[in-house]
Amino acid sequence: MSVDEVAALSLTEVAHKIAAKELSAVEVTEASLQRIQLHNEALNCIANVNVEDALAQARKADEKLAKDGPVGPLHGVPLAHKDMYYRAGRVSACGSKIRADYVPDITSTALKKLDAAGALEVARLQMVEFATGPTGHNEMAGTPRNPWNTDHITGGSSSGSGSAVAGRMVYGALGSDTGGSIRIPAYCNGLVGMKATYGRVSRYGAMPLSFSLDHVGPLCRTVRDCAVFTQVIAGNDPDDPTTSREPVGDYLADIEGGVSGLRLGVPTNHFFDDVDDEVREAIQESISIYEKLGAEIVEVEVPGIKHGFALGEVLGRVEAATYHSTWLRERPEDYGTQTRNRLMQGFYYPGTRYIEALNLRGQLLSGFTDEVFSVADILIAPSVPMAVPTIADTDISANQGFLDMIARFGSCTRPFNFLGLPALGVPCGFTGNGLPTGYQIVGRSFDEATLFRAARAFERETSCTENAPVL
Amino acid sequence: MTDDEILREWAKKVQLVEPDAGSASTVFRRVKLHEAQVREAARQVAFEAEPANFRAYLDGKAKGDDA
Repeated sequence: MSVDEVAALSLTEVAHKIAAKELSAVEVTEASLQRIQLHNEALNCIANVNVEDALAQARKADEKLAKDGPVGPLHGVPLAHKDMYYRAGRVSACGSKIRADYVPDITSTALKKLDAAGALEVARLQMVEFATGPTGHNEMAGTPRNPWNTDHITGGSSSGSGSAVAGRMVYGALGSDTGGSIRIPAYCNGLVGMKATYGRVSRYGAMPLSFSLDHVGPLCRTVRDCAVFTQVIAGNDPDDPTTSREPVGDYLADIEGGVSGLRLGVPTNHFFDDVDDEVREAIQESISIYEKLGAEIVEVEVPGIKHGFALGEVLGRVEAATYHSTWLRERPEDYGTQTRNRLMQGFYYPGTRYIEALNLRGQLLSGFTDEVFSVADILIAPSVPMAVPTIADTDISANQGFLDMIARFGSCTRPFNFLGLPALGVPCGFTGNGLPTGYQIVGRSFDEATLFRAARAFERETSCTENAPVL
Repeated sequence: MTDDEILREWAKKVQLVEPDAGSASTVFRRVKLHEAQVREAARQVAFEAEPANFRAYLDGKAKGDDA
């Protein structure tokens, strides 16, 4: 197989071929490294790659496979992750100047679980500075580019993850999602991205932004890839007291089960109020496909979304400003302007508003769950309400109203960080500018399995994940 | 003094920070917008409510409890 043929395989396909010894981990890793070498100049999605270390991991994986068989479902598969997942003894720069030389002394639980599943880590990926913005811009570390059209944004804050996975450099990547930072890059790059239920995946050893809203999760090329990846990293973690003891379901057991009889809720308020026509049409077409596949379509009014958005903003801003308070006071010039302005807001909210926002969270979740999931099993909504814009059109220097644009960009994703519900970003085609478009489906707490099953039925019908950018 | 000037002076003294001159009005506008929306939503909060254990809500909802 050629380098491009190897790189074009999905995560589950390549894992299967390595386990079956049809491909070696070294061959697959060499293909990944070649793709990085060939295309990173155009995409700028790699923060750091250590070729020798990557190949050493691959050789070790092949030796282990020959001796003992595969250690897990990702044996020998090259991955790379958003540069905010700590590995002891290695730099985690978090897309920033401030932490450019930061070397943690712990390894994040997500990386430990991926290691235990046999995955390789071949590079660190660019990200928005401290994961603070949804477009992908980073004036400190450089802005990654979209492999579908390098004039366009990748989305953020998991910008490098979106670009590297869509660019066929690696087979999957960890992102993180505080207001949409997995689902937005999934949308922009034509990928599948899972923000699981709050507490489903450990945040231990991941750079914090907002402990109430942060979620750890993967960006992958196919639904099955995303299910396998999520399965590996999910579960209770004694090192993260916010993780749940709720048992992790088997995400693959019923993934081919289809959507016959599944009730798909379509919101009648908020989510479609300010959506570009071509994005709306793509989602309406997707709803028709679900209906054709046997799903029951039900309209539902979703309660509390407007408040949920504002409450989430307050929690996120206050918690982020608290984490960054020392640096903001002592090294403000070492932040990018956009990042500093966003973080600065958190200093100005009264403590009473913060506590009120915390208290209202459970109440709004109860109202949402009772209203929506009494009539629907999953909800469909836009991920991003507009076609993927260009880098120039969304740059702070080119757009005085950029904070309002950012608010619109995350208006459909953020409510589900506040509510903590699982949400899966799914691609569904392209807009007129040739860039991907998609939607998110949202489920009951800890019911990620139903989201994977629904998305897989859609993928099987539409082949929506088979398109690849030409680089 | 305007509201923005009061906010700016307060933060300078208490929080030891101040926004960039060019972005201050945007920062204050967004803070006031969100604060007003929380205040409106918070009219529903019981007077003696304590900070919620949100994960317990999620666990409860997963089990079908009336958390």
